[in-house]
Order: sequence, then C-alpha cells, then structure tokens
Amino acid sequence: MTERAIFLSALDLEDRAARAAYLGAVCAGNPALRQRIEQLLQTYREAGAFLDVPAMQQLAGDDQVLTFLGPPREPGTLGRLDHFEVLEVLGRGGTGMVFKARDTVLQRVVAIKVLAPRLAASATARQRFVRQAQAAAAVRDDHVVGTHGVTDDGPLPYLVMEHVAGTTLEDRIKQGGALDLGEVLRIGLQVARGLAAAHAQGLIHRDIKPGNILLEDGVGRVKITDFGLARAAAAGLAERDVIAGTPLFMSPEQARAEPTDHRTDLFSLGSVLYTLCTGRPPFRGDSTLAVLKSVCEHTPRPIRDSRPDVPDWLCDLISKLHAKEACNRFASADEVADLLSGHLLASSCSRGPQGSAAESSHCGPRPNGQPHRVRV
Amino acid sequence: MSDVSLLLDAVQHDDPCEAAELLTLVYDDLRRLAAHRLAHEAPGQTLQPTALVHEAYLRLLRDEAAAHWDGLPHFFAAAAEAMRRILVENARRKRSLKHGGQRPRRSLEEAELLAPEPRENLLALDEALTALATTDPAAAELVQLRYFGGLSIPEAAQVLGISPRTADRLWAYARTWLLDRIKRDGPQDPS
Repeated sequence: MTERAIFLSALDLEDRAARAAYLGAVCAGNPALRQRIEQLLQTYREAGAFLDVPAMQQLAGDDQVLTFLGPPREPGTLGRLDHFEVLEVLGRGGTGMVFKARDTVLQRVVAIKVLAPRLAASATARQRFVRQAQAAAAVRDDHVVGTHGVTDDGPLPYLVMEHVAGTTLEDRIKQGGALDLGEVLRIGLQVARGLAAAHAQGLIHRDIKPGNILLEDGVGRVKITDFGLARAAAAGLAERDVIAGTPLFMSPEQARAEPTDHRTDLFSLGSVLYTLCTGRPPFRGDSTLAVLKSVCEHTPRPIRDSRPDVPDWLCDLISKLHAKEACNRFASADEVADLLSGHLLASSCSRGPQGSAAESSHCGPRPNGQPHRVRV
Repeated sequence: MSDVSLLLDAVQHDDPCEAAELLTLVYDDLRRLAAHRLAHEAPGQTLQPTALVHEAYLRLLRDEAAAHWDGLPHFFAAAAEAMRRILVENARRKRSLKHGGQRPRRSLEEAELLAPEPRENLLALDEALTALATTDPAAAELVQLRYFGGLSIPEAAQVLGISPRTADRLWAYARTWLLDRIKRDGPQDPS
C-alpha cells in the first residue's frame, strides 16, 4: 500500500482506537512508516487554511482578510476571530469581506464584516469604519440590517451584524432578470422605508445597489446592508478627488466627488428601481469613466422601451429620482415610500385576491405578523 | 490584445506548453500596462498595480474559462503552469529586490515590494511541489490546478479525469504532504 492510501484510510477512521488499531496492523514491523503516517495526520489537523485560497485570488486583494484569522478550533470552519468561529465567506467587496460566523459566547450566528487590510492600514479609514458602524447601530428598523457591535482593537477592525438568511437582490436579478411589477413595488417600498429610517438618524448610505439589498428567505422582507461604509473605503484613497460608491448606481454628485446629502441615496434608489424593471442598470459604459460620464450627462433609455407594462406614474417616479440636481428629486425617502405604498395598495386591492402573492400580502397583515405601515 | 489570439490558437492546436509561454506574455503585457498607468498617475495616489494586473489576468482567464471550458481542459493546465511560473518568479524577484540593498529603479518595482503576498511561502511551496511531482504526479498536478490555476476541486477533477470524491481525497493528502515537507525543510528565509 502506498503512503497516500494508508494516510487516507487512517483519515477515514475518526475513532482514535480504530485508527491506532488500523495503523498497528498496516504498519506492522515498520515503525518508520507508522511514525511518518502519524506525523502526516498531525500536520493534517494543523493545516488550517493552508492552500485553501488560490494564490491569484489572494493577490487580487480578495482574500487577504483570511490571513488574519486565527487557526480554526473546529473542523470545517475557516478560522477564528476573537470569540467568533468563522463558518464561511458570504461576500467580498471594496471595503473588505463578509463572513458568516458563530458567536461562541452568545451562541448565535452572525455576519461579520472585516475591513480590508489595505484600508485598515489607514487611520482615516479605520475611524470612518468605526464611526459609521456606531451610527448604523443607532438605526433600528425592519428594513435595515441590525448592527450588534464593532471592534477596533485587533489588526483589522470588524463589524458584527445580524445574519440575514437569504439572497441579495443582485443575485436575484442575475438569476431571473427583471422582476414583475408587484415585486418591484414591494421591494422598492421596503428599501425606501429603510432609507427613511436611516436618514432620520442622519445616516446616509452612499452605496445603494442591488448587492447591498438583502431578500430574507421565507418572510419576503427586504433589508439594506452596508450603511455608510463606502466612505470608509474612500478614505483609503487620496483625499482629493475621492469617488466613493459603485459607479453603476452612483449619483452625479458622487460621480463628480461633490458634497452629498441624503438625496444621493434617492438617485441610487432610482437606479435600483430602473434595474428591477428592466433587468439592466440605467447608466452603462465600457469603463468606469464612461459610466461616470453617463451618470452625469445622460438620460437613461425609457423604461417602456423594454417594459411596456410599467405604468406612467412609476416611470415618472424613477425619472424624478434620477434628476441630475438633487433639489429636483423628492425631498425625502419617506415621500417616495408613501407614493409607492399608495400605488401598491391601490393596485393590489383593485385586483382583488387574484393579485400576485407579493401584492396581496400588502392588503392584509404582513407575513411576519407585524402591522403594515401604510400612509396613503 | 494580439497575444490572446495567439494563445487561443495554441490552445486549439493542443499545445499546452506554448499556451503557457503565451499566457506568461499576456501577463507581462498587463504588467507593462499597469506600469504605464502608474507612471501617469498623480504622485501620492495609492495605486496597486500588482493587484490590478492580477485582477485583469483573473478576469481574462475566467472569460476564457466561460468560452472554452467544454473542449479545452488542457487550457487550464497551461494556465495553471503559467501562473505558477509567474508567481514564483515574482516572489523570487521580490526577494532579491529586498535583499539586493539597491533602491528599486522603477516605480513598478517599488510598488511590487509593497504589494501583498499570499500567506503561503511561494518559493518553499514551489520546491515542495516539484518534489511531490516526482513521487505523486497526480497529487502535484491537482495542487497546481487548484492553487495556481484557481480552479475549484470539482473543476480540477474534470481536468484530471477523476471523480470529485477522488479529487477531494487526493487534495487532502497533497496539501498535508506539502505542508509537512515545508515544515521539515525548516523556516525559510522570511521574504
């Protein structure tokens, strides 16, 4: 038998006594071989994340966070961060990585966002990350991912958040393309409500995009994540000419690196709604620069070109969100939410119980049993 | 980029060796582009040319993967071989830059010194992998495809013509063997 075959057979035997008995039999008369296999089994246990992430991926900046994790205490996990056992990678982005992890003290599953090492090297980025996390923790709303806490005393600051089981709106669009109208309104309304709650606390998101909108499994609830973190990412760059956010969903004032207020989120909400209706982002281009130029100068192709069933009022609402000057947009996310909920209620009730599940659910109590906030 | 069409041609003519050569050229092109960009960026800009190069290269390979996966598993063998050469060469160059004492002459060299490194010591891994290839070529090939080629284990299994379960087991053995070998060779020069 080869070394490889013996090693693997021994590995299959999880019971220590069975393993010892097997090795005793297979290595009878060959103590050197037995010692060698024992040594390999020991190395196997201590291997941690060795070779787990392909080299290029590590160098592309994606996975450097993993190098900061402590060795795992349980088989099958990625590693350890203080009292959290890191279970899997949920996402990667400009600001860092998001993990699913288990809090071994409180015994609950959480999501942890770890600031990217290149940003953690900047004092400004760290401060912004922590400050924004503190601000986000003040927002308590059904449509905003809850923040449990933030830690800044290790090599990389990290943020502990509620873990939402579900998918991102981005994945949903990638898989299924444009959404039906009832879904667009239902999701749009909840995003607008979440934004309104955050804006009421003085917190601006600055990076509203489908990838930051979570669709919770089962209950049909929509939650916004990653509040204000785009600014922390920007702090890693030169202070001058900072462009924070994702070009495809950015507002013109962001694209020009001008001062922004809560209405930058309204522009991005317009881009999200447009994408939900058509399956494609409104402002496109071959390069980041071309996209930024388009955001600042172009009017998107009419939604009706690809979706004739989108009603006038919704096209108008999205156009108004897309006003190049913030002062020509709606004044608040609340105003947008009220408009959406008014139309949602009207359309679903006029269609009666035959309407889609998404729409009809807004005529009665919500699936999670909470009262439905409708202001018509 | 003309190198890419040459590359595809080589792959279509079933020449993994040439394909690996050409992938190395493609990488060098991307590197030159990054150097050019770096030279024209405002001073003080935190630009990561090496990260840019790797991102571009990964994207290129991923696109090729999507387009050519079915008929051309050896494309990935070639890509993995090319990446191993590139990364190990980079690590070697970086070490000599650090130890050479002279200041880096070009801004790209300087940037490379600051660029991130994978957590594994590539020079030690390269030596161990060469040793593994003499005793267990399949195990070494799997590591090359997975770690340097960036394929998932099931994808690498397909390239090697083995079942994913066999690949899983082979992987468990290979990474253990390599780590053991690296540990026994003693702590490497901390580069």
